[in-house]
Amino acid sequence: MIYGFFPGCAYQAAAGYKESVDAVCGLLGIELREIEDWNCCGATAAFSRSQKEALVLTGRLFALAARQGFEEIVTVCNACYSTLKKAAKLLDGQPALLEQVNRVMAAEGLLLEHPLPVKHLLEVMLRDRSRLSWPRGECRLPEQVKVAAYYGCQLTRPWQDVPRALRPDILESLLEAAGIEAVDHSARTLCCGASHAVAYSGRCQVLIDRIINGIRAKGGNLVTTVCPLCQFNLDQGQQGRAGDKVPVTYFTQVLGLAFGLPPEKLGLKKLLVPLKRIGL
Amino acid sequence: MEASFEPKIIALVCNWCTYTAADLAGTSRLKYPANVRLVRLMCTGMIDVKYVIKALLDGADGVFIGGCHPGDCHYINGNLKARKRIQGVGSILESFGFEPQRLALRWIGASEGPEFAHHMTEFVNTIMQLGPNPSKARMIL
Amino acid sequence: MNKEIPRIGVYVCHCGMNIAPRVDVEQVAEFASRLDHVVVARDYKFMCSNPGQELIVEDIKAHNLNRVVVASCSPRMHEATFRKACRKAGLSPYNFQMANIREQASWVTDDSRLATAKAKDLVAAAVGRVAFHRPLQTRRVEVNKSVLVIGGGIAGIQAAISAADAGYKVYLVEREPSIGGHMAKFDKTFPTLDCAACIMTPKMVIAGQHENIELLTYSEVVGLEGFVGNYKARILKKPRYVDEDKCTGCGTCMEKCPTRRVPSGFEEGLAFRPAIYSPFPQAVPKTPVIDAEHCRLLAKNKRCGVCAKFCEADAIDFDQKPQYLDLTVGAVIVATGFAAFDPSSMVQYGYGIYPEVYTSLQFERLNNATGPTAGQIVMKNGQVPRKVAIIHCVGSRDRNHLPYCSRVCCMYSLKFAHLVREKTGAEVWSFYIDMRSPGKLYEEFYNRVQAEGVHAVRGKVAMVTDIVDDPGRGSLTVVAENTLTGRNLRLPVDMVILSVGLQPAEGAGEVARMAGISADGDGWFTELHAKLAPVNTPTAGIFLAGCCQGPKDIPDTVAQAMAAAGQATALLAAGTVETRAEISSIDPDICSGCKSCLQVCPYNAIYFDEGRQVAVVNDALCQGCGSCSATCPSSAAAVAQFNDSQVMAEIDAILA
Ligand SMILES: Cc1cc2nc3c(=O)[nH]c(=O)nc-3n(C[C@H](O)[C@H](O)[C@H](O)COP(=O)(O)OP(=O)(O)OC[C@H]3O[C@@H](n4cnc5c(N)ncnc54)[C@H](O)[C@@H]3O)c2cc1C
Ligand code: SF4
Ligand code: SF4
Ligand code: FES
Repeated sequence: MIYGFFPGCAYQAAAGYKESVDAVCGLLGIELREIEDWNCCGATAAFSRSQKEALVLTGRLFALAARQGFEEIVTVCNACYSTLKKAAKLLDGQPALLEQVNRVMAAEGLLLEHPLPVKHLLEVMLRDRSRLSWPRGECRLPEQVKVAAYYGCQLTRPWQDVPRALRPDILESLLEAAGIEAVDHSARTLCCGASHAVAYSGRCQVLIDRIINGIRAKGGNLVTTVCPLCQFNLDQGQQGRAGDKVPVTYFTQVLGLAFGLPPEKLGLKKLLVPLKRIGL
Repeated sequence: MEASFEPKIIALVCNWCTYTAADLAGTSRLKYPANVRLVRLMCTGMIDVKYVIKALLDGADGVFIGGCHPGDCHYINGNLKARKRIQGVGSILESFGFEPQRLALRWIGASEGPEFAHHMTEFVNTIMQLGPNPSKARMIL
Repeated sequence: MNKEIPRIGVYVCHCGMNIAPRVDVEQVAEFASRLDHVVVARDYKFMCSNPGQELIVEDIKAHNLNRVVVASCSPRMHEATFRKACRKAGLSPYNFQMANIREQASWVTDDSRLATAKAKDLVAAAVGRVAFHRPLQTRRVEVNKSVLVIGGGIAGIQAAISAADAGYKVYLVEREPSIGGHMAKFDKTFPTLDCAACIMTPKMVIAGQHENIELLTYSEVVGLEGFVGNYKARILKKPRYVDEDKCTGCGTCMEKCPTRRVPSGFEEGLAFRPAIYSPFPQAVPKTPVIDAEHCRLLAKNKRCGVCAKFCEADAIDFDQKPQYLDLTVGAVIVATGFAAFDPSSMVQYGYGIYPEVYTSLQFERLNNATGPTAGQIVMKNGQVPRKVAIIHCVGSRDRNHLPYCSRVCCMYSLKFAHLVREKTGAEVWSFYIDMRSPGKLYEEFYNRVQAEGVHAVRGKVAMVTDIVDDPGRGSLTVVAENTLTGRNLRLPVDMVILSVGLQPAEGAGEVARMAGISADGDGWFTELHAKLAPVNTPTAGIFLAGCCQGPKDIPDTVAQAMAAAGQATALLAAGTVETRAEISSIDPDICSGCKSCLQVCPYNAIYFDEGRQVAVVNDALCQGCGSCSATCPSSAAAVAQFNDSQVMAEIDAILA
């Protein structure tokens, strides 16, 4: 199946995200077709500078995607996801804003009638599972690996369409579909500090420690994330920790391992806390 | 002429639900267009088709009928009888030269003050779009 | 028939500042004075005041008026007042009509020109129709001397006792196996901290033994029709599978039943009960019920019947079937109470996820001497908590859930704070939005609890989580902002109590529908008037008591129950009620005998006179719905006060 894909700026550089997304999507029969000529979504920064500018950045993405024949936009990053969703809600509800954006985009010959639905890759995998070539075989992840699903705070907040937003379970459901029973823990949507981890590293370290401790307390020894920044913060943030580090992966890396894809195709080497800690 | 069109609307409402809802809209100070004139009846089930036709022939720009939600009628099922009767009127209206949209039937419960105000606004808007009662126009011609 | 020439007086009310100045009342009066048949038209500050009414009385005499129109508020408010004034001056109260220029004009219109124009139309309509009014006759009919009380909480119990003490027969219907309602679950009650059982149990016993009260527990009202003085109620008695007459209440069956692990609703899921059970030791009646869903024999068709084998009174009867009972009563008191808000949907508080998060009702049981821990406030592991958080307003004052204040939660939370301090010495942290203690001795109670060293933090809790920064200091963390200091707080605790709000009882909507009463947007039953008729409903003969009308504490509940009983017994004591005048009649000279009306009358109030070959209305049964008049092809049927000429005149006048 073909999806209109918005990779976002952090994706390429993220530790093994692209490799594992490519490998897993290849196996499942998902073709992520990049929106041609895409631009940065502006992330949280653009909205705090100027709503209008932020809406032009995002509006352009919607217009491009629509022109290229896509009916929805798939992302792999929480910040892209929430930025696009926020823009879609604003543009949908306020025709005046849409008009403003269209006036700017006219210079480029672009016209947006209405924003497109925005989905995380995780959501479309779950939704379209029956139409994908989902592997039948057994889960190849060794039993000693106890996966904890971590959502971060932006996937469900504030423009939430994800069910049970305060204690979501869609990632657990996806893992379960791959034969993985995730540990039940309460750190799912705690904030990792996001981009503040650079400027306020001290304060964000407290947040990161809390997440890792919360997961460890429930027996988790592998974290799986759905966002480049979350992965980076949780992985990097453990460098000062003593012996009780837990590897932090992307959900596509864990799925790849469960499906029995060769580890070298999943970019696992790029992780800071190495997987061999848990015998992988 | 167009801009100053102030339609006159006759609203035949039942005492138990819609009239009470109108009272609630009042006590809650909800504003809605002043074009509506309520005629209080005990139940929509007592609305004779001739009231509707007479109102339109006499120049009302719209007739609104409001009663209790199905199941809530104070007299068991007067509202359902009204619905049946009113459904039959549409075609008659057209033969008299009235657009069927000039007649509306809505269920508005006793606690639904905001809904009452909303339905009034919506119906007045519909009538504004339709323009004055055609029989009035004919009379002027 | 009615040859007299109408002489109409019109009175336009200012209602202080409510109608004037938005509606130009003087202009409306001047307009009215020029309408056909209007003899006098005046405006006056308060028509409903004594001088206002006197104005009408004097004018009727001085000007020989035979019709009156008052343009003021809703007829639902003051029609009775002005009709009385007419009657006082010797005029038939039915030769009167109200124009509602307050709720329908001044209060809902910003533009004063449009409001005035609308008011004029409404006055013209009233004048137009009143010319066609004529005096109506009513009769007095006997009132049935019994009362039906729906719901056996403290409200229903008190209402039943009060009415029964006044000498009337009372049927008290409760859907649970025992009466008692929520209060039966409490150990202590604020603000006096008196023992709930000590004040409640005697009332239950009185209700159970009163010669005038017939208890119908494990029963529900499934049909209610009729009218004031003469309601017909159909009661469904669910099968108990235990014969109430034979059972001695010894409890052997409950001890012997092999099905032991059914979560107890009365214990809020904190304990188990057998399949045959009585919800609590002081239950009234004592007769247990078999829960057919869990009984081995009834649900699973297994050979069991252990209870029957051990029952010495031979009271177990597996063949019992649902029974229906038809009652005729003069008045109905609705007392269906409330349901506690289910906090599972507020995932941030972790109820149902973390074992040490309790609802307030669970805490009531935990603290109760007859509860699952025999009144010890302990955690699931049996240990005494060292630090307890109480979260106020769970669900309440929250537009995602219950938008209103549930009124009792602040006070019962303070009660909990006191009990935890007293019984365990644990640190108590109360998180509130606003502390609401408006009631006799309530503020004093608040001060007392504060002095006991309870920490009160003003701030809504963001979340309760099992992520703890120091595992040694409690298994849960409460995350909140103290809005008085502006600081964020991460408080480690052992136990969290959620002070959940109150919402209407399950099935309240169905009860409202049957009783023909209305409920507000939140589902609470609506009283006739928020200030002046707090226990009456718009349906004569149906009264409200307790929390079904809105959240309230026990003193207010009991006061309202007594008031409802007072209203009901006053009605019964009067002995008769006036029949409605606004009923149908069929003109035999016009009736063609087509029988269409017989088909549509929902009350079977029309019969066919074979001799004269015409339909006739039975005026004792007719409710005046007008189905017949709208159906009659020859316009022979007409409802008084709503006949064709009256309604048409009203429409005519508006469109003139
Ligand atoms: C946790 C908590 C603690 C409280 N503590 C105090 C306190 O310390 N002091 C105080 O003054 N107040 C307290 N209150 C308030 C108190 O509970 C109420 O004021 C009181 O219970 C109201 O009584 P009621 O009879 O109106 O309602 P309920 O107690 O709810 O009784 C209603 C009864 O009607 C029955 N019923 C419902 N629907 C039907 C139906 N369709 N057919 C037949 N039967 C039906 C129910 O089964 C129930 O038995 C507390 C409330 C809570 C939630
Ligand atoms: S039949 Fe058996 S299971 Fe059912 S109530 Fe009696 S003893 Fe209990
Ligand atoms: S008004 Fe007519 S239809 Fe209605 S109850 Fe009376 S007789 Fe029956
Ligand atoms: S009483 Fe309202 S529709 Fe019948």
